[in-house]
Amino acid sequence: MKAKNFFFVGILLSAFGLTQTALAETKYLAWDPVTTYTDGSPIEAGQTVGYKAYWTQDPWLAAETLRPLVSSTTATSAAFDPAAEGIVGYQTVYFTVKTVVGTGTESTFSAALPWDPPAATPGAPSAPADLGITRIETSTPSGTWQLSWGPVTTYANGTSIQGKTVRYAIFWTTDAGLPTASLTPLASPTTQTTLTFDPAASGMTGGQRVYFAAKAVLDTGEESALSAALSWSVSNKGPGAPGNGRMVRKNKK
Amino acid sequence: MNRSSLRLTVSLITLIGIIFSGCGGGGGSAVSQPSGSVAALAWDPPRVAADSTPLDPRRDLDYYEFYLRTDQNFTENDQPVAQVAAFYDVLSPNGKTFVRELTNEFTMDNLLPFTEKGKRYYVSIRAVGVDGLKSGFMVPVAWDLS
Repeated sequence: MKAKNFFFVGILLSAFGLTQTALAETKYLAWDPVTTYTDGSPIEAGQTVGYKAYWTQDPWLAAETLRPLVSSTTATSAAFDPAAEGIVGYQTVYFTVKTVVGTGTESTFSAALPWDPPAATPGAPSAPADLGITRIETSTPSGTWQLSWGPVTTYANGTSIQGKTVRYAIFWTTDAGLPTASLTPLASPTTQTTLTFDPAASGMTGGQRVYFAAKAVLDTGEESALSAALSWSVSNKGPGAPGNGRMVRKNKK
Repeated sequence: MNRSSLRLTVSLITLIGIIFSGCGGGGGSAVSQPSGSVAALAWDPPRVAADSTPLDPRRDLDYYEFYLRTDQNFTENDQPVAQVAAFYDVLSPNGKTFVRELTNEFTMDNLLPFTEKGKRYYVSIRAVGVDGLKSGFMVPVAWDLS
């Protein structure tokens, strides 16, 4: 039995067809085949070597943010449609791949491959950014909270939005992948850049991990992509106190 | 307060500390340190919320507040003397992405402008979540400036 903690040896993610000018085209992600374990020994003949590919907007590749690109393949490349995957222009995304050998033993994730997608569909507004959350009231058991976000003033291609009303649709979900079917509107779309809500009244429970995301919607119907998610642990008591405080000596630098 | 503002705040406080400690007199104190080392406060970041539900410090914490008193009776009325971000980013070996490391140490020299030589101080910290909620005070730690 080989060490389970194997990892890619010499893997190199590469992307080709990723520099075109339109998103609605098939792109390709490729990587080097994995043939050895981390200790350098070859993977036994007859062992199936498969791969799972993911993308995320999180440069740290936090597990809960990874969205599957290919759930399982024995090939060393994958074709995908950025628009269908929810990848939008002007938001850097990161690809990563892990190996699955035989009965399901998995490697760690490969180093991330960053990609700056080209402009999205003309006419679509930029996605809202800088989502934040603050408690503003404590009178109800779960408190009253305010979500905020930055105003959207440009289209995804960077040009200014003129003469149109921008509304914001705010959603929450417990699924870090933000699949469309899981998104629950937090309120009716608003022209404001803040939204007040009561977690309990919105269906959230204490200690639950939820994700907020926003879309900008023009009065002419065009919608932005979803914003990056804001992760929040539904709480009304705040973090626990740091522990094990002690004085230590540090070498001067 | 957003993270970049926090980092700026800490940087400014640190700069002030350097300036004051360099003065060697006046209101600030020049504390003798063993050669080649400085005192630092270390702690374990919280892993649970105050209601005992799980907490991910990399996602749920924003920054820490530092408090200083000459006794251990920290109260909600106390004002923090410094802040530091709850994590920092380290460039990964591939040079393309960052790894998020948790802050769990703070050089006490940064607090010297708020002290007097020869006194015993107690330092405590509070964790502040991304939603602005604050933890209780960490058990105070003695800091002797003699």
